[in-house]
Amino acid sequence: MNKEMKILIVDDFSTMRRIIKNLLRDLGFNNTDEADDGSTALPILKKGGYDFLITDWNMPGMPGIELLKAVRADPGLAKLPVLMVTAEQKREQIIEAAEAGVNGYVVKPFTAQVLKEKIDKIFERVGG
Amino acid sequence: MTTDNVLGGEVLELAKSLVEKLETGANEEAHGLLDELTKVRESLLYQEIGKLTRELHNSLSSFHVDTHISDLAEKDIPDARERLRYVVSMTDEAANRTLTAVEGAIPKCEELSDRVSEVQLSWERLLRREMTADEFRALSTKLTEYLPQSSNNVDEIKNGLNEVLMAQGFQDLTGQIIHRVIDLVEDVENNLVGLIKVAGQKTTAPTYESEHADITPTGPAVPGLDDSGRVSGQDEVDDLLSSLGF
Repeated sequence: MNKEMKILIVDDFSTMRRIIKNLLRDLGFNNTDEADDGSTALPILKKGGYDFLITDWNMPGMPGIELLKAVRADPGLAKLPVLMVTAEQKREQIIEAAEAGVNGYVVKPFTAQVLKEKIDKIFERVGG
Repeated sequence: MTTDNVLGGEVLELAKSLVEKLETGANEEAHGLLDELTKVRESLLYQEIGKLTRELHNSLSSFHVDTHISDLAEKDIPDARERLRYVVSMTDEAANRTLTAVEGAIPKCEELSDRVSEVQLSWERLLRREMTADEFRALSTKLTEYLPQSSNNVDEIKNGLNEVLMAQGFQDLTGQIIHRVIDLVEDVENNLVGLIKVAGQKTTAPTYESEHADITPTGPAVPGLDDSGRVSGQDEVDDLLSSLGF
């Protein structure tokens, strides 16, 4: 896995962004950016250069599920690996995210170990 | 019921004498009796209206007397909203305080670890008697520099840990505030039930519609309250996803 890959972290709570950013740094990923909801994240992603998207679901403005759908609908972003990190844990929601093409789903509160496992698994699959 | 009986008896008696008067052809007296019968009926109607008016009046005045309801709406609920906002800002502050402390402590740990590795290498060379006098002097200088620096790092890490410890105080404070808000919600609930009773409608246990394919975000699940249709943790998420071919 390329430790230099560029990662966008999307969550409306800055504390959660900090936690994820610190965990990623601990895993050796230093190249991260942040956005606070889907509508701010999408233009950032469209500028290009991102290798991985980590997003929350429940955010004011554009929620994570809509961001995921927008990413999959954009030819330039369709193949971007997406990990959802969220407190939403209804079965219907997980199924919806899977159908929308999410690559991994982590429920909050999570551990550093779970985050690492899911990231490893995603990049094993996409062969990154 | 007793009023009805008394009235019933009165009406019956009037009716009997009305029949008697009509049979004997005493028409004028019969008309008088008919008027009387009408009066009796009217008085019954007035009594019923009076009763309803009294009930309405009592209900309305109990509304006015119970200023608690308006206090709840005007004061307590906005107050609770503020409390909850405070909880959000307090937890935000605690999380940032903790993260700042951790971000400060991690580089100190790394410095310590780097110095130990460096000294360890030289020390092993010294033990194996591979060290020249010049190298030994360099090691001594390094140690003289490293020891107080390391002690300093340990102090800073310890301060950071204490800061993390102290930041957890938010749990106690926010917990108390949230408990107060729970009490308020209970109060509002009781008042609403009372209000529904005053309005004369039956109160039945609330029924919750099942949430079919509802994917609206609801935030963190509160155990015991939001259990239906939710997975209970990461393992269940993984199971569900693998059943979907993930």
